[in-house]
Amino acid sequence: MPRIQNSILITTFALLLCSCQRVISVRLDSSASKYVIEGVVTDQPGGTVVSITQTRDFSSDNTFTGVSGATVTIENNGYSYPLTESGAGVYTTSVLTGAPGNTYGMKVVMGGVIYTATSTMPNPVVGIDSIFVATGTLTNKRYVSVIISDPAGIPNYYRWVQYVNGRKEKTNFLGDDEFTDGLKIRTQLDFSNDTDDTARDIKTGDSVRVDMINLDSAAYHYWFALQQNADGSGGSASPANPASNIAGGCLGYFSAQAVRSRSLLVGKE
Amino acid sequence: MRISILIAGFLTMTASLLAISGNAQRPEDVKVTLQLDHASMKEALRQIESLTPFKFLARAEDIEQQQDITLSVKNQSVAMTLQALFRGRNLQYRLVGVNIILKKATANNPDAGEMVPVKFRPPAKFTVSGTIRSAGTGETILSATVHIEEPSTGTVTNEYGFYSLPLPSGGSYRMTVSAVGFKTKSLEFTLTGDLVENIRLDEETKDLQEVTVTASPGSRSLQSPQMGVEKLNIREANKIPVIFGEKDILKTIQLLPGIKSAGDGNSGFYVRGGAADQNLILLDEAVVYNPSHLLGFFSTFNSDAIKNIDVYKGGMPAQYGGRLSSVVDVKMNDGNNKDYSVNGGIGVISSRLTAEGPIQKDKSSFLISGRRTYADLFLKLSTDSNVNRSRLYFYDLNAKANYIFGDKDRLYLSGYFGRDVLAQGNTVGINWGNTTATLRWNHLFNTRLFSNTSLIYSNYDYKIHVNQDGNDFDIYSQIRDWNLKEALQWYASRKNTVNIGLDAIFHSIRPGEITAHGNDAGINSISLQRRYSLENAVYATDTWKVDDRFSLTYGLRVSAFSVLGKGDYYNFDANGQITDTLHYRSGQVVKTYVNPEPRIAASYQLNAISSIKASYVRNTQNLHLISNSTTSSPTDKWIANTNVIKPEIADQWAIGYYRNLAGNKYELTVETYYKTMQNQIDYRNGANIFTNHPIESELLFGRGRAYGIEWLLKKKAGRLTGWISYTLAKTERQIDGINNNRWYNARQDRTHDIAIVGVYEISRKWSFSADWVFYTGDAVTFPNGKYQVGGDVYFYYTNRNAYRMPNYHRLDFSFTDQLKKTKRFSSELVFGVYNAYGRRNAYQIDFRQGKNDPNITEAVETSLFSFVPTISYNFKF
Repeated sequence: MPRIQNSILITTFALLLCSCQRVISVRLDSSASKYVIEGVVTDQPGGTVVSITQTRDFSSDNTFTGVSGATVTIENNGYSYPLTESGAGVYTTSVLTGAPGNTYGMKVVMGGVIYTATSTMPNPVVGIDSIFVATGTLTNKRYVSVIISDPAGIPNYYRWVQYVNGRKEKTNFLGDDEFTDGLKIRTQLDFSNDTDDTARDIKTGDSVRVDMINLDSAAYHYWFALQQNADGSGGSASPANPASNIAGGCLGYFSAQAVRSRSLLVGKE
Repeated sequence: MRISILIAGFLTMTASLLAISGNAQRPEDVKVTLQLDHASMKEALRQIESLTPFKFLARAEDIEQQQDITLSVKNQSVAMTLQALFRGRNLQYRLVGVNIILKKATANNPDAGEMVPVKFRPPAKFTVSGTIRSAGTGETILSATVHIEEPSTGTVTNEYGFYSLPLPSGGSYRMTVSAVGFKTKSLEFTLTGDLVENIRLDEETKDLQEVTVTASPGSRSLQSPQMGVEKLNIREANKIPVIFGEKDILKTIQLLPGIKSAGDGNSGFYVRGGAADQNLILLDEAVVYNPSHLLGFFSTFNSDAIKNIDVYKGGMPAQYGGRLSSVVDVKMNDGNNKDYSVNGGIGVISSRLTAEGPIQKDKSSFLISGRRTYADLFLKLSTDSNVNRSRLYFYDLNAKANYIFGDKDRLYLSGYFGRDVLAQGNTVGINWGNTTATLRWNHLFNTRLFSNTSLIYSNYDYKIHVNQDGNDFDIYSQIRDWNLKEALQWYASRKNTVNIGLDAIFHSIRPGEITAHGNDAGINSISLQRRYSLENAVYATDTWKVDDRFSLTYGLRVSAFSVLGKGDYYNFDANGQITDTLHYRSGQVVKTYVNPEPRIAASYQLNAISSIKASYVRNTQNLHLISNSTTSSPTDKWIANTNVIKPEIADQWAIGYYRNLAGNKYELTVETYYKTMQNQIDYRNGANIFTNHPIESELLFGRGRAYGIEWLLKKKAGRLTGWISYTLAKTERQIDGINNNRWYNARQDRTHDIAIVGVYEISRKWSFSADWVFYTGDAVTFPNGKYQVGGDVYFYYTNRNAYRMPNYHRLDFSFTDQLKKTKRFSSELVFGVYNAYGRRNAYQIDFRQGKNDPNITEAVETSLFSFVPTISYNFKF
């Protein structure tokens, strides 16, 4: 809903205004570095991954090297699964594949501080009923649409990740069922190509894959706050760091989520 | 002996031709011309009384014996005359105020203690009152100054052009009436009973020989305790250049000190550190909830229909309440009740037309004014089918009718209707607008008691329509008010004017309703619960002119806000989770908030050209605008207090210094204020305001403070008129849960704010106007670092609003060419440039991964208007 209102208003602005954009240099203070932990348990094999990085100054480049030497464990039903470092700052295990309805705990010990979190994988899992490509409403660009059937009577939280020719689209596609509980929902994955990178546009012949992620409330609200307040947009009146569901004083999140994927080859218009 | 009023009155009529003017009231200074032939002393004293401000008091026996007086004096002082009168009669006199006390002089008690008059009656009082109108159109003139020279007193007409002045009886008076834009008028009268003087003022016309503007003496009052007010004259405002050539009073007031613009492309303004929803915007007493069109480019006020605007930044009079930071009181024209006239204009973006005239000449009149944009006509020219199917327009309609029946009653009916439409074919669209209607009855109980009763309706709503790709639904939201007001103005005496009134508003809010159409609408129909409340206030205030130098206004407004059922209200824990749900029946009171709001102001006149004033006011606000973005949007929601959301309260102390320079050619105003605010609202991290859940779970509450100093130097006379304004200010908030519970700059905190405005009359045909504005940037939150989640870069923030946007400045100018000016028809062409030197002022700054190099992050500035030309053609029949 808010997306529709916003897209109308933003497009009107673009139509009306002779607006200009330019890159400017801004002097920003640096701050003490903080840890960023992204922990995910999925119901797909090899989906249990915890990656640990750190914040960097704005003026630095974007190589976020992983933090090694942490002790990472995932716990479920009394069993504790240790994760081993498979790459710099990336901790995995091949032993654990999550199952819907289960609650998982994550524990990271790093630099003498213990970071913990829990998350419950949603059940039942909602998948994509159909996927297709259509032209957008206010532009000539093409977007992927998915149709899903929302289970009635329970709160559901969704996140979609879109890959075009293997490259992840950075826009976050989020949705909940507050206004659409129990209905067949069509969601169009609109995004604004603000970098004018043609590789992001969907064209005939492209191979598109959409991962549909069912997440719990805390993880969904983390992504919502991340997108609303931390993506760098100046339109937010109160930029702030999203509340993390990890205790201990770090950034990031932990999510036990169920993933369903669909792919398609984009045909002619 | 006393002179009876009736006898004095008879003599006064004949003697009024010899009225004496002047400030002095001493027998030595006041001069008389007398012809007495075998008259009695009584008669002689009567005659002197009738020619002077003096009254004689004496014992009957001292006077009655004195007969057969023959005396002839020509332009002699009263002192000399009395000396001549009393010579050899053993009478002495003593002056006390305006009373001359006579007594027999005896050897043993030259000063025989206190005189007890046989019959002493203080001079009685009558009232001169009436309505002041424009001679040409019959429009009532508000804030016109009515001044009596002797005794030096005066008043100002109220919002309906009515004035009332109690004066001592029996005297001759000279009255001067002045108003901005009108020629000053003087007249004389004598007061033998209550007098009704309805006065017509002629408009100040541009002299064909001269183009200089003469300063009107009555344009501001050094004596009145009212401070913190800017009175905007429509004629002056119409000369100031604005974007797209559209005259816009809300944009013009932002050039005054203490009133800050919210920036390019943004409607709304901030007054003395307050938020954009803390301004009470009234059109003929009705609240306008969203006074902007087209996302903020234009206001809903069509200057052709507007008579007057008063903006109160501080020292709000007791009759206003409901918002913390300001009152913008806009009054519509009544309509020419003498002659029909049509005027209008054609501009780049919109056109307007106004028709007004009498229904019954001098008794009733009407006014209709309309305006529409045609920005969408340009869109139709596009070949892009998405663009040419877009609809984008707004329209406005102002209508008013009034009827004078009898001497004591007048009825007004005014209304406003406006709508904005943004749509793309039939697939997606939004429309919104205000509707207001006001019915008012002025009634004069007597010459000193003026009453106004108003019944007001105000409505704001928006509707979103979506019908695309299997989604078919509407969203609707509305706030509606029914308001009854009664205001009594009692002109009790020369020294006291009392205002008493009550104000009752019933609010009903429909926060949001989704209506799904068809079976597969893709969304569930749902309605947020309606909200009802009753906002009542009573007030009483007295303006007391203590003496010639010192005046005091003291008053109290008490507001009582009752939250009503039917509905569910909730209690929350510290994390915003619901702990209880409370169900209320229809009409049941959920909670009542009672707040006394003292309104006190004082002024002390240092000398004829300068004064200082001070004030303290408390204001309460019961409706709050929920908006989580930096730009205002028509879908921002108004919510009322609940059991959890408390009324916002602001206390403001202010002091000011006022000086007229160079014989009223310049006005200097310096005001400084300190304001504290309670129960200020901000949002939780990650707040979602478009939710079905109770909004209170997304809100955080705290306090605020603001202080500053404002300077205004205005030039009112000569070929070049205009002003320079400078504000130095700070505004901060402290809210638990934000910025680690420490004080932080409010978003609208702006340290320096300068505006220079000038209007230059080049010749009879041409005039030029320009303005230059400069302000330091708003407080803004920028990141201190960045990190990666899901393979993409996000930004890390520490302190709230610790950085500043870049400085903003721009120059606008416009030329006005008076094409034709006859009695029947006049027209002009206005053209100019907005942002004449094309400064790229930052509208928004975003941070993102480098467009060309994704391995770095960069800051991107978006700016809006540069070099925007404007042209418009205005005409008047």
